[in-house]
Order: sequence, then C-alpha cells, then structure tokens
Amino acid sequence: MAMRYRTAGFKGYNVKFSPFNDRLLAAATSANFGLVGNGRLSVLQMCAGPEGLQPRQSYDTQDALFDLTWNEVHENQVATGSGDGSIKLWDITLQQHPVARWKEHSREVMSVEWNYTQKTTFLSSAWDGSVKLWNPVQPKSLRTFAEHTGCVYTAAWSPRQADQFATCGEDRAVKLWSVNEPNGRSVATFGGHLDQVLSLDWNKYSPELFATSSVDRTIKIWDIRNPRGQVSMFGPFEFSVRRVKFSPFSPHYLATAGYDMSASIWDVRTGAVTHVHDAHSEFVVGVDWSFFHPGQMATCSWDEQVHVFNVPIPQN
Amino acid sequence: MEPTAAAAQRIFKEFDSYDFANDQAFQQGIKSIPNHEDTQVQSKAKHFYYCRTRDEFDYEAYLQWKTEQSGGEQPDGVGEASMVPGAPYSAPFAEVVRKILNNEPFDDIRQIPEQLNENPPSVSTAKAPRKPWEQD
Repeated sequence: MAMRYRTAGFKGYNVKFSPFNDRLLAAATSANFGLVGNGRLSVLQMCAGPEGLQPRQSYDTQDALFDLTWNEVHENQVATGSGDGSIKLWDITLQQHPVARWKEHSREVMSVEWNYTQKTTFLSSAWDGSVKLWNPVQPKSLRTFAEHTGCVYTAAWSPRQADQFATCGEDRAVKLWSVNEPNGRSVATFGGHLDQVLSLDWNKYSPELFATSSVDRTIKIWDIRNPRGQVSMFGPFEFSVRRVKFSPFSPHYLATAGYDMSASIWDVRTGAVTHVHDAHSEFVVGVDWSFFHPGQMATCSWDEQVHVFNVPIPQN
Repeated sequence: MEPTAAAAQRIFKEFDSYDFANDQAFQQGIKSIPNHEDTQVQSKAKHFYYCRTRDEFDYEAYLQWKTEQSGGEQPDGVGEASMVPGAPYSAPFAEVVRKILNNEPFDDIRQIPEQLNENPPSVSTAKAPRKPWEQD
C-alpha cells in the first residue's frame, strides 16, 4: 500500500528523501506541467498510521521547479532549480522566502545535486548547456562547465570520488568530469545514445558504473574506464524512461520512472523487472530511494501525486 | 459526402502521414515548448497545430482509433490526469499547449516577490548519517 499526497494543481518533477531524517522527503512541482506559471516545493512528513504523508512546509516560486536537492551537511536546507534559471536555498524551519538565491543560468535549471562525499558543494545543470559548481556560502558559482551543445538534463556526482561527476543532455552526449580539471574540459565523452539523454545515476557499490536513460527508449550502463561503448543496454522500450536511480543498498537494483506512467525496479545483471509500481495515472517523472529503509521508495508524477511505498528487494 | 466515421478516419490517416518534420512553422512553435522532446507533448502539439492549420478532429477519437489500429495497445497521450476521479484537476496538457501557442494569458499565475527571508536561518545541529554504501 502506497502512502499518497496530492500536490494539487502542481505536476511533480522530482522527489528526494532527506539524508538526515528517515521520515522527511520533498518534491519539486510545477503548475501547468512546468510549461508556464508557478512552482512549488513541498516538504512532506511520513506519519505512522492513517495520516500517511502530511505537508510540513510549502514554498511557492514565480517559476516552475524542476529539481531539488537536500543539503548534505545541514538538515534543514533544500536547494531548488527553477524555470527562470535561478537556484534557491530554502530553510525548512522558516516560512515563505528562501535564505539564498543565485541567478547565473540563462535558462531552465533542470537538475541540482548535492555532493555526497565532499558535502559542501552542489551542482546545477541547465537548458543553457552549462553545468555549475556551487558552495552555498559563496555569492557566485565556483566553476562553470560548458561543453554540451544543448540542455543538460542531469548532472550527477560520483558516490565515491568527491571531485568526479557525469552529465547527459539534449546533444545525446554523456560526459565525465573532474572539478579539479584545470582547463574546465570534460575527462571523457560517451557516445552511443541515438537521441537526447534525459537522466543519469551512479552505481553506489561499483562506482565505475553509471546508468543513463534516453529518448531513444533505451537504458545503458556505462563504465568510466571504457568510454567507447556501453557495458549493457536495456530496451528499446515502448516509452522513454525519464529518470534512473540506483539503489543505495545494492549494486544490482535500478529504479526507473517514465512515460509509461509507472516506476519499475530492474535487476541490472539480467535486465529483468523485479517490481512495477503502476498506481500513477500520468507520466512518472521523479523517483528516489530512502537512505534508511531498504526498498522504501518515493515517486512523483504529472498526476499531481507523491507516492511512498515499499518494494521487496532480494537480499543478495 | 463521406459518412462521418469515414471522414474522421481519412483525417486521422492524413494527420498520421503529415510531414511535421519539414513544416517550418510547426518546428519553430514546438521548440518554444519545454519538454518538447517527449512523445506525448509532441503528439498533442501536433494535434493542436493540425486542427488550426488544416483539418479539425477530435483528439480522443483519434487516440481511440489509434488504439484499435494497434490491436489494443495504448498509444501516446492516453491517461490524462483529468480522467482521475476525485477533486478537479488543473487544465489538461493539450489545453496548456493550446494557450501557449495562441499567446493566451494564464490567470492562475501568482506574483511571488523575489525576496530573501529576513528571519535568521536555522543552525545545523545534526551529524550527517553515513550513507548505506559508506558503512564498510
């Protein structure tokens, strides 16, 4: 049974669990499908019993919100990426307004992700083709990485190497970067997707591996030691996968959310689907795994629902 | 005169074979829409454009026809949030796209002042838990 929360009037774009509190999560949502109008950051509390998911805070923004990330060293802070190119930092103990705001991207910020290991910085990626590195106590970005030739849908940190991240985008390219690379160029480019690459996430236990999903309706697994070809490929499916997310508890399980209106769990060793969450009635755009409870997941969707549910994950 | 169903099917077939890729006006318009990469967005934008510039037809009837053509599989565009029972949902996707392409105003947009919080931010007191993959 899924716990449900209705983000009334707002379509879900991404949902993430708190890294500090096993009962907190937040969703980045947008009115009018993110095409025009306001955004809303909803912070939700999981309650025991029939109360289920309860709103704890809600922050409205002028423009659509496409992603959020929890601060890895401050339990009350969440950063959001917005349709107007701005990034805002929210303190969930305060009401209404953000505690910091940065405006350097010239177009929609599509992803934000806090560094899991180094923990004081975060990345943003945007429709303007750039990726930026930020420290929330600094008024300006620390670095800009501009090599993609179209929207950068996702920038994702390595779970083990504090200076390493990967990006993917509209130009069909997947790129590996080091924040310490003095010339600001990527370390490697992984070609092979036949259309825009929407999402990317790292394997938490085999940290040389990451997964991507593309409008070419495939998922590919890549190895950073061999940019010339993928390790494996799943699909083509009938519909594209909008987001991929590896389990924090296992090297074998990958969650996907997509345009088939479901979220699925895959065993990446075999390509078998081990679980399907089909309770949404529109595109599922966001998916995340709890850091605390193995198999606990959250999804958000254009059906204006956030779901939290448990999937059975084999212990091997 | 063609019977209505036959006329509708003729339009559906013409719509399916219409060369959107080489229609400059359509390509310009679709680029202004975020999420234009996804197939449902494209399908609905094409429907709107086709109705305005060529022949009008009912999108739901078209989807129904596509479903029958494909032997019962769901085509793109099925599963509007508006079909979900319960509280009324916000405008469906096609309506939002139609208003954008027509430059119609959206009256549900709130003006949110661009200001920072004047209250003192909280101070972190918690130690970040280790990630499950950091346990060894």
